[in-house]
This record gives sequence, C-alpha cells and structure tokens, in this order.
Amino acid sequence: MFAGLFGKRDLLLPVTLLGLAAALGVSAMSLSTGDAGWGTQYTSMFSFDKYAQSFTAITLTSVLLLAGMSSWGFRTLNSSLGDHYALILFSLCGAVCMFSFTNLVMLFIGIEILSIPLYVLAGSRRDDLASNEAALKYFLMGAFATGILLFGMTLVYGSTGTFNTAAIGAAVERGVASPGMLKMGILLLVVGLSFKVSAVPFHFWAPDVYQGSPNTVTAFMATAVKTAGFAAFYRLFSTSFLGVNEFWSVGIAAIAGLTMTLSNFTAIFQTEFKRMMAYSSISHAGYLMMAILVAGQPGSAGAILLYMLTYSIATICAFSAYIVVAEPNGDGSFAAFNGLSKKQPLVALVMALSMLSLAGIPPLAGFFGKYFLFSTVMQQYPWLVVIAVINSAVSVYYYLKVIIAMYFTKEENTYEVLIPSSIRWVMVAGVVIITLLTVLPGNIFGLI
Amino acid sequence: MVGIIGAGSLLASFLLTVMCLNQVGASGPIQSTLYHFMSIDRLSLDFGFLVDQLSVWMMMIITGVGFLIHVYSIGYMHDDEGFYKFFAYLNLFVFSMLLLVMGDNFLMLFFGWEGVGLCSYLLIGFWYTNRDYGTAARKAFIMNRVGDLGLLLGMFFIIKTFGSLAYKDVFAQLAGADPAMVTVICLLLFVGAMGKSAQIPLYTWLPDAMAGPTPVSALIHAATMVTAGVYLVTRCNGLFSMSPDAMHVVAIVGLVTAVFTAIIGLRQNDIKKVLAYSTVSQLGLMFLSLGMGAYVSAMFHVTTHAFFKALLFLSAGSVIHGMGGEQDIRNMGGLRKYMPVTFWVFLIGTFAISGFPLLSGFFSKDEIFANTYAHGGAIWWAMASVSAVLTAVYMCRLLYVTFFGEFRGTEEQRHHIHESPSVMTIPLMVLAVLSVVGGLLNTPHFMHLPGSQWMAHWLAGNGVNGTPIVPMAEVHLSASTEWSLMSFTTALALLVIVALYFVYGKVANLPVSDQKQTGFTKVVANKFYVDELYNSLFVKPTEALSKFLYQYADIQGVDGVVNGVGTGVSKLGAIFRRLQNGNIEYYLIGMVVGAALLFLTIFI
Amino acid sequence: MSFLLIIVPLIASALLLLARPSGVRQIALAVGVVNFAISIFAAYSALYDGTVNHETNIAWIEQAGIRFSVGMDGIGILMILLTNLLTPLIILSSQSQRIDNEPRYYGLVLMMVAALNGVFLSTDGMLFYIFYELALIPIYFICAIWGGENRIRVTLKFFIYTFVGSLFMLVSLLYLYLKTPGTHSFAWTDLVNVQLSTVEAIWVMLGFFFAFAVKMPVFPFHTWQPDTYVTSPTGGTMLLSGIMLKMGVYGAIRWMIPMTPEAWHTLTPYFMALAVTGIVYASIIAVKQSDFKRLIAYSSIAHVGLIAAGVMAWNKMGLQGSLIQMLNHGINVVGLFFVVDLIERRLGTRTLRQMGGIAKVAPRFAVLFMIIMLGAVAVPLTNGFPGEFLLLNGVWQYNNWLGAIAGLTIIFGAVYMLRAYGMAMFGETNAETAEFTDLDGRETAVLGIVAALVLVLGFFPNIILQLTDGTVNRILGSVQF
Repeated sequence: MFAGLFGKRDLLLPVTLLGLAAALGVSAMSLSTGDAGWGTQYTSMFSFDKYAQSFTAITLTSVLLLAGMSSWGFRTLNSSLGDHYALILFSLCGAVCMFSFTNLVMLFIGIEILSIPLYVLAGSRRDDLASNEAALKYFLMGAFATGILLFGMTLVYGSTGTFNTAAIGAAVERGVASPGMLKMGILLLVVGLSFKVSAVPFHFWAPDVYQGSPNTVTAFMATAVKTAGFAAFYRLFSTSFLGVNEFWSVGIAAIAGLTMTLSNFTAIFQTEFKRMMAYSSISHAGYLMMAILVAGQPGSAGAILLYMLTYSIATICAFSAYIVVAEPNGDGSFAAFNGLSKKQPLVALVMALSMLSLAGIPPLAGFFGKYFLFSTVMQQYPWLVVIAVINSAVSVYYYLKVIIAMYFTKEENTYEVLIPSSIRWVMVAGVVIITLLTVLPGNIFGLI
Repeated sequence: MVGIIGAGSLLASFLLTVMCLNQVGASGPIQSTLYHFMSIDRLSLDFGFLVDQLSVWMMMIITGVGFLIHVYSIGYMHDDEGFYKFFAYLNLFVFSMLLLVMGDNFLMLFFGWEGVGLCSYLLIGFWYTNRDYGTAARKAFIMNRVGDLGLLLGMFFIIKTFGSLAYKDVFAQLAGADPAMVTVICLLLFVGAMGKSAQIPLYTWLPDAMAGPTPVSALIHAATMVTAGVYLVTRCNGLFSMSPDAMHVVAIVGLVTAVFTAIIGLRQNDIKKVLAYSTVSQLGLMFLSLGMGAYVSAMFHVTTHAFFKALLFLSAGSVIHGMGGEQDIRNMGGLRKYMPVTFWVFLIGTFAISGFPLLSGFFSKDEIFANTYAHGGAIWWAMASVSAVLTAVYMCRLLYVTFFGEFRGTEEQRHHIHESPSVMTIPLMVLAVLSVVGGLLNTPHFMHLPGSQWMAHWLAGNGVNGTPIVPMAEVHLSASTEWSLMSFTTALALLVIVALYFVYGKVANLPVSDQKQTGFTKVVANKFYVDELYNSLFVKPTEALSKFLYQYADIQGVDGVVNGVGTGVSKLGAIFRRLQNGNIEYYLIGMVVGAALLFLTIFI
Repeated sequence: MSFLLIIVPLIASALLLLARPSGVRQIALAVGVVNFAISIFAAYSALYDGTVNHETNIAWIEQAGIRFSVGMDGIGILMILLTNLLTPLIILSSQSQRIDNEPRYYGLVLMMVAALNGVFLSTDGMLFYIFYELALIPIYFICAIWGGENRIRVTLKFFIYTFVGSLFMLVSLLYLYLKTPGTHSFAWTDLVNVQLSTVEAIWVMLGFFFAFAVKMPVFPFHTWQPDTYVTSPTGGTMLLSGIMLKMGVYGAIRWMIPMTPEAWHTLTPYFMALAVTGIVYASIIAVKQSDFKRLIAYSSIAHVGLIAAGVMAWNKMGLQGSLIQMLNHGINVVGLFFVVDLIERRLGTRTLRQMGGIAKVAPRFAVLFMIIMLGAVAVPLTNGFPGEFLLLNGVWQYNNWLGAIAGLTIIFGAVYMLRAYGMAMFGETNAETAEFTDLDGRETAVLGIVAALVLVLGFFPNIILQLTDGTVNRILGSVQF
C-alpha cells in the first residue's frame, strides 16, 4: 500500500509476492518442525496451531497464484492498484484470524476483516453497473447475515457464559441450563456461517456477486474466502458444539443435500462461464458441508484441507484461462472457448485439467479431495454420500461443456487469445501442483 | 492341372481307405489321437480318430464316389472361371465329411458336421453373382444350424449323463443309463439328423440347394452329406435301441417324409428338383428303416443310394451340359437319340431306384420293407410300399419325358446337343455298374445267394469296446412271407414302369393332365406351399420383430428411459434456475424462510 | 513386469501428447509391439496354479489405505494378453485411416492402453477404480474429436452413463473398505474377507453390478452402445468393443462376485434372465440392420450377453468359456470393425443395400473376411467355437431351458452375419463397388493376422484354456454356494 502511495507501480507486485512468499515460508517451516505454534496469544483469543498453519499455508499458496494472475487482471487499474493489493492482503489477514480463533469474538472480527475489503473490491469497477450491483448486494446481504451471526453468538454466550470456544465446548458437554437458547444460538451461527460459504438456502447472493465482480476478485472470493469460511465453520463446530451434534446434524445434513442438488441442477443451464463457476462453487460448498457433519472425526479436517487446496488451485487455473479468453474479447460465454485447443493448446489443457479436477474424475487431484471427503462421511451418512455421488455425475455435464467447446466443437470464433507470461507462470505452477497432488495427496491429508 | 490335383487327392484317399478296410477287416478298429483339443476338469476332448467297420464303410463311399464325381467335374466345370475354387471347396468338403465319420467322439463328429454345412453353403452359392443362389445357400446353412442346435443340446446331455463325449466311453456305459435321459438324447440327436438329412420339417433347403453346380448336388446332396444323419443314428444304435419312443418318432418322421416328398416329386418339372425330392424321399426311407431297428438296412440303402443317386444326378448334369444349361424337362424329349450313353446309364439308375429286380436298389429297398413288415406290421409296410410306387412313378416319368418322345426344345438347343466327353461319361459308367451289382453286398438270407448278408456281418464286427458296432438283427419272417412281400412290390414296380411308358414315353408331348395345374395338382406342384408357410411363420415375423424391437423397444423404449433421465434432470434444473431472479428482497426472504425451517429442527 | 506394462505406454503417451515428435506412427506401433512382447514374456514366465505373479506393491496413499499394488494371475494374464495383442493391431489398422493431429490420437490411444493394463493388473481396489475411470477419459476424447456426426451428444451420453455407473461402484468400494478391520485397506484379499449382512451385501453388489452392467453392456443398460460404436472412429470402436467392455466382465469375475457371493447368488436368476433376454433381443435386432457397423454393434451385445451369462452360471464350463470367449470375441470384433472401416473408406457408405459383388473384384478381401465372419458365427475349428461351446454348456448346466434359448444365438448369428456378408460381397457389383480396390499391404497384414488367429485359436484352444485353468479352479473353490 505504501508503495502505491509513492507511485511506484512496478514495485507493487513484487513486494506483494515477496510478502506472501515469506509468510508461506514461515508457516511451512512451522508445519515441518511440528511446532505447536506460537501457542495461545492475545489472552487466548488466538491459537496458531497446526490446523491454522496448514490452512494458512494453503490459502497463501492460492493467493500467491492469484497475485501472479492479478498482475494482468489489474492491468487496467492505475491509481488504485496499491489499494487493491492492500485490500486483498487485509482480507487475507481476516482469513488467518478465522483459521486460528479460539474466541468467538475473534471469529467475528476475522469475518468482518475478511468481508469488508471484499465489499469494496466487489464494486471496484466503478463504471461497471454489474460491479456496483454486486457490491451492493453483497454488502446488504452480508450485513444481514452478520447481524444474525452476532445475535447467535450472543445467545451462545448467554447460555454458556463464555466466549472462549474450548470453554463453550466444555459447557455444552456438561449440559447448559437453557438448552433452547443454546440451540437457537447454534442455529443462528449456522445461518450466518452458511451465508459466508454460500450454502443453500443462504446462497442467493453468490451467483450475482460472483458474476458482477471483477474476475480476479471473484477468483479470490471463490477460493480464499471459501477456505476461510469452511475452516472457521469446522473449527467452531469441532471445538464447541460436538456435545449436541445430534441436534444440528439434521439441519446441516439438509443444508448439504439441498446445496449440492440445487446448485448442480441449476448449473446445467448456465451459458456464461463465470456464473457457472459460481454455481460450481456453491456445489462444492455443499460437498464440504458434509465434512462439518463429521466434525471431530479423525481425518475430517484433513479432508477439508485437501479438498480446499485442490479446489482452489483448480479454480484459479480455470479463472486464469478464463481471463485470457474472455476479457480481451468481451465474451464470457462458453462459446468464447470454441476451438481453444487449436489456438492455445496449453491454455486449453490447463482449463481441461481444472474442469476434470473439479468434476472429481480420477486420477486428478479433485478426485482424491472428493474421495477423502466421502470416505470420512461414508460410515455415518451413506445415503448422503449417494446423493453427493449422483450430484457429481450431474456436475460432469456442465464441466464437460467447456471441454467440449474447447476441443470438439467445429464452430470457431475469431477471438484472439494471447497469454502474458505472468499468467503462463501461474498456469504452469497450477498444473504442477495438481499433478503433485494427484500422485501424493496423502501428504496434505495427513497434515491435520 | 488343378483337376488332376483335385481328383488325384481323392484317388489317393480312396486307396488309403482300401488299405484301412483291409486292416480293419484283419485286426479290428484303428484308433489314434492327433492332439488334445481342450479339456474341462475330467471332460477331455481330443482330436482323435476311430476307423472301425462302420466308419471305414462310409469312408469308402465318400472317397470312392467322391473320386468319380471329382473326375466328372473336371469335364463339367471346364469352362467355369472358378474352376480352381470349385475343387478347393470340394476337397474341403471331403475333408470335413471324413472328419465326421472318422472321429472317435461326438465333438469330432460335430466338427465335420458343421464343416460340411459350411462347404455346402460355399458350394450351393458357388455362382455367387446370382443373389438367389446366395439366398438358397443361406437357407441351407441356417436350417442346418437349427438342427445343429439340437445336436449341440444332445451333446450337452451326453456329457451330463455319461461324463464324456468319446464313443468308447459313452457306449460302454449304456447299460446303466437313465432311460428318460437316453430318450431325450436320442430325440435331440435326431433333431440334428433332421436338419442335416433334410427330413420333415427341415427339408426345404435341399430342393433349393439345387442352385449349386450338379456335381455338388451329386456329392453332397445325394451321396454323402445328407447321409450324415443316417450315420449318426447308426453309430448311436445302442442309444436308440434303448429308447422305443425315440425310434418311433424316427420311423414316423421317416415314413411321412418319404411319402410326402414323393408326392411333390410327381409334379416337378425341373430335372434336378425331381431328383432332389427323390433324395429326401429315399432318406425318409432310410430313417424309417432306422426307426424299425434295421440299422444295417439303412446303411445298405445309403450305399446303394449313393451309387444310383449320384449316377442320376451326374447324368442329369450331363443332360444339362448337353442342353446348354436347360433344366426344364418340358423343353426336353427324345434325348436318347442324341445322348445314348447318358440315356442308358440314366435308365439303369431309374430302374435301380424303382426296384427293378436284381439291381442294387431292389435288394436294399426290399430289406427295408421286410424289416418294416416285421417290426411294424402290415400298415407300415403298406405305406412304405406306397412310397415305393410313387418313387417308380416320378422316376419313370422323368425318364420318359426327358429321353423319349419328340424333342421339344429350341432349334438352337437341338444343334447344340451332344454327348458328354468321356471324362464325364466314364464315371457315369462306373457308377452304373455299381448300381447294378451293388445289391450283392448284402443279399437277404432267404435267397441263399453266396455271400449273403455280407455287409451285416461286416458291421457286426467288434468295435473299439469289444462289442459289435451294429449288432445283427434277425428278421423273423418266414421265407415264404419274404418272397411274397418281395414279389408284390416288384410286380408293382414293373407295372409302373410299363404303364408309364404308355402315358409318357410314347406320346410326343406332355399329357394334357400334366400341363394343367388345378386343384390338388396345383398344390402339389407348388410343393404344398411349405416354403411360403415357413416364410410367413418364421422369416417374416422375425424380420418384423427385428424392425419393431429396434424402432420401438430399443430407441423409444429402453433408450427413452435413459434419455428421460437426462430430460428430467434438465427440467429440474430449469425449475431451480428460476429461483435466482436477481431480486434482493427475494433473496433475503429466501434466507429467512431457510432459517425458519432450520429452527424447526429444534423440535425434532 | 506388471508395472512396465502400465508405465511404458503411459510415458509414450505423454511423449506423444506433449512433445509431438515426428515418426508418430512408428513410435506408437513400436510401443504396442514392445508391450505385446512384455506380456508374452510375462505369460511365459508365470505360474499357472492360481497364484499372483509379477507383483509390484508400493505404498502410495497410506492415509487412505491405497497401495499401488499390481500383479497378474491366470485370468489377469489372459486379459493383458488380449489388451496387448490387440493394441498393435488397432494401431496398425488406424494407420490406414486419415487422422489429423496424429500425435494427439496415438497419445490418447496409448494412454488408454496404459489405463486398461492397469485395470487388469490392479490388486488394490481403489487403484482398480482409478484406472477404470482413467480409461474413460482418452476414449471420450478419441470418440469426440475424431468421431462421426452427432458425436458430441452421443459421446456425452456415453461418458455420463458410464461415469454414473462407476460412481456407484465407488460407493460400494468405499463401503467395503470401511468395513475392513483395523486400519482399513483396499487390498483385494482384505476386501474379500469382509463380512456383510445380507442387505448390505445386496446393495454393495448392486453398486458394482450397475457399473459393470453399463460397461459390458447387459440388457437393458445397453442403449448407449450402438450409437457410440457407430459414431466413434474405427480405432475407438475397436478399443471399446475389443478391450474396454471386457473390463466389465473382468470386474464381475474378479471383484464383484468374490466380494458378495451370497447376494450375487440370490439375484443370479434375475440377472441370468436379463442376460439371455439380451442375447435374443440384440440378435433379432441385428437381423434387419441396414448399417453394417450398427449390426456388428448389436451382435457384440449379443455375444457379450452370452459371456455374461456364462459368468453368471458360475461353473467351470461357463467361466472358462467366458474367459476364452473374451479373447476370441476381442480378436474377431476388431477384425470385423476393420472390415467395416475399409469398406466405408472405399465406398463412403456403411449401408448394406448399397454394396454388393465385392467378392468379384476383391478376392483376397473376400477370403479373409469370410474366415473372420466364420469365426464370428462360431463354426467349429474357428476361434469362436470353443468359447461358444463352453458357454452354452455352462449356461445349459445352470438351467436347461435358458441354455436352449441362449443356443438360439447360433442360429441368429448365422442369419445376420451371412446376410451381411451376402449383401456386401455376393451378387452383382454396382457402380460404386465395381471400383473396389483389393487390400493393400497393411490391410492384408491386419486382416491376415486376425484370420490366422481365428484359425490357430480355433484348432488349438487349449493353449488359452490352460492359462486360466488354475485360477478358475481357485476362484470356483473359494466362492461356493
């Protein structure tokens, strides 16, 4: 940000990248040395434990790639470039808070720090009506959801007497005086958090907001924000509310099922890539909700971790390919991809791999993400897995539409597609990571 | 050159067969296994050979008559551009037929069985540019296959009942076998025989098979392939003898076939078709004999039939050759002036088949009739005699119409008529001689001729199990009964020969009654419309079913369900899509509703 | 050894797809031949008593209990012989066609070969699943890029239908996996030992069954097949019908039945009825087909129905029959599709009515086609016969009437194949067919090899039967009802 202030535009990206890389290096180091983290800090509001470290690491990886992508994505911005990077980094801080909270208040702060820059970023294209609409919708509905979230926290505090997540967990185990209040509170928390991760029926903002925002921002929303949301969701529920899980499992299961089904079926009809990705994002939220169901079981956190990583990388690769095709030619529909395999085989390949990974087709990384997820859920909720499986099959259809356009359709368009080297690097890095995850997914899974 | 190789190989085979004959006569059956074909647990199926009295007898016929027909073909197929192919197929056929009779287990028999079916297909459709010939060939193959299914199922039952397919093993265990099983086996084997030997209801392929070149008709559809069914039943006589029901079925089918097809033959005008129906009819007689337990008589008739039927076919071929391709006897007449050799041998053949005294057919037919009378009674015998009379009638009709009277063909044909070259006539003459003396192979006891029942004794020799292959059957009839039976049928035959001369032979043109085709005669002339019946019973419905299944069941039915799933999904998607209408109030309401529903879970 | 069979084509595939060297055809063919040689060597140096040979067992994703473990027993050897025997033939036959972007095509073919080998060699459940799905991707691309008209819709249907099927298999596998004691494992031996309640077993089995029934295909899950076969390029159809569908049969024998034997046994009568119905149904439809390629597609359904029925009969005859018939059907169907292809290339049509008289102008072709056709009709002493004989006997042993009905296939098979041959080859030539050129060197080689195999395997079927005898005994012994 400060670099931006001094008008040194060229420095912005390298500085950002450097910072991110440094952060990544630090967290990777902590992970490998098995450091228990810096323990609880700030009067036990904050605990950078293994969980937090892993999630931070993967989020940093995705944001790194994103930053690489953004150098081109933000090329049209002049004055406010520094602000953009700053906002993204602030948002990222919020995400880190959401990974490592041990106190409800911290969670709330983290969510706000995450969201507010996003409201701004969503509307950052001031002359674009869609962008403004997106920002407004996001803000309005976000405010609404935040209110609910806060109210939920209040109720929980009221029934357990503490904001500390571990203490809440203990209180829940013991049994609280007014279970009704607790349950209400939990449900409100569910509503608020579900909004954040765009689960049905709190997802209505997502398609419009995703579509309206600038592409790089959408990519950030689809990846880092989702990761943060789920990490927080999981952390909260596995620490605090396991005692009454028979109660909220019903609701969560219903949400999961609805989310998967509604989003996948709606996605079939999309003709616009970005909107399709929005629905795809919602559907993945649905799959991930299943992991919440088995919060506390061994392996469930790792499943989320792996899934988020594969999903994020695939999404970023897909978006990077999308940017080079859609933005210069002003066409964001599937038809814009026609014949891409002949024009730019590398881009087509990257997009194809991303699509296949998102669909969960072996042996790509996305399959393993889904696999680990399903296997942790399978024992207790086999029928839900069946629904998930059916939805995966349905999702294949719309993911394949892109591939069909790129490789099989005979109708060509005359779009020019040039790839700046930064995007190329992003793509290559993404493919490499996906390949690595294909061969060695276990390492990520085993982190938590 | 090709002809020499083609025929020469058969001559060599024949000589080798004679050697085998000697060896078998001296020291009994020869058995040898070439290699191991396949085995499943204890069921071992080998590519093995068994040359015993029965098989070597068949081999003599196959290679002997086959050789003569090969020589004949050198002349007959002289101008054909597929000359080399013809001999290749013909030799392949002989190979398959030999496999059939030389096998030591049912699987080998089946190999040869299907092999001859294949060669029959190739040879019937030899002139393949004509689509009708191809259809006839297909019909033959498919009808054969129907029979083959029966044979295959019979083999399965054999495996289950006897644990093996080798003749040695099966026939050794006959004593303890379940009679019901044996009956089933026999019936299924007979189904196979019905297909291969053209018995009712699987006979219609044989007349159509006349589309092939005449030597083919002679070799395959007269002398050898069609007798495979008879061979099969004879080989399994042990099994059949254990099942009176099966024997009964065989006899009935044989008799009905014999009479029915003889009637059809009365009104056919294609020289080869008459002979074809005649073949089916004679085969019916053979099966009648088998059904009566007279296996030797059946084999005897196979032998004599091979002689005179091959003779008849080849001379018919000679006629066709001389007439430049004409096959309709209404356009012939008085040919004895132009083709004397052919005429005389055809005459001999006709008399042989009609049962003229002391010719080969006389002896073999009489033995069958005697056995029929002995085992079945007067009624059976009477029906059989009817078929004999009919045989004489249609054969003499054929003889007289073709060779006597005035020539009714075109001028161009008249110029063209010539006797066939010696490469064709010499085999004819050899066959004629055989047709005359062939009867001496197995003269009946009561005539007290030297070497009587020689064949029966030969076949009763000990097989590979040490038991007689075809046990001697005694005909318990008094000599006087036999004499009177014989005289009766002979008298009838002679009567027919003479009477028909006046109806057909002396007149210039075909009698008016022949030319008119009304009422019953029309039905007969149209072969009782059996082909049309099969067409509407089997062919057309199958084709219709095929179209129906494809169009409706598959495309609209089953696939419709599959496509329906896809359509359902997309319809659902369309509905869901409308939820997202861009209206923020709507979204917020949605959220509230969702939250409210969630709260309901508190009360669960 | 097993590992090599997978890795060699995989590397070659990557090479072709990414590096696009020249001499693509030769490389592809060489890889195919090399793989064939390896498989022959593996077959030669293996034991045939039912044990697993040439094993490779590496830890892969320990946390999920997935190991990269591959190996081959008698059945596996037969399957890889099938795959690697047909691969060079398919590659060779593809070279007769005009294919644009050859590196991509051959790269995809080799990728598929690697996946197919993987399927047949896996002894780890999840690895099996992964390869099973992996094989779908290249064939989808092959059919969708180089296919005929309507290919996008047809291949999408094919992909999704098959994918849905195998997703259910995934669920079943997962369920079994989670039931293995201790730290779960996907190894075959562990999965087989899982005890399930009756209801559980039925669901698990149905999951597998759905996947395999779509793959083979078994009536009524077959409707994707005729369209897909017809729209695919010839190489794709050969891969699909020659090898890929055998994955379903193999999966049933190797995975489904040993893991859920009682459930299987309870439902066998229904499945058997389906299979036999499919045989007759498909045969009848084939009788009146006017498109030659579609005719062979339906005939393939009929043949595979018989193979499936033989497996369901679960006796020695049936199993041995199904195994040897898988090999022979693969060979014959590759030959037949090549015949269709070369007719189509010359005449521009696949409609039988528009052909005729080709035998007159192309005698060499006529002879080779005839031999292959006879193999398809199961004339004794061709390779189609031993399998058909054993299969029919196996089904007949299970139930006499079903065996008799299944036996109708020998009649119908003769009907439609002879009809097709007659319409194409016999009769008079018309304007187009008079120009039919006889086979060139490469085509003669392909058809010649197939015809030779038809005859050799017809005379000496025991070579193949011996390969699988030991393993079949072991499987039959371990799964008893």
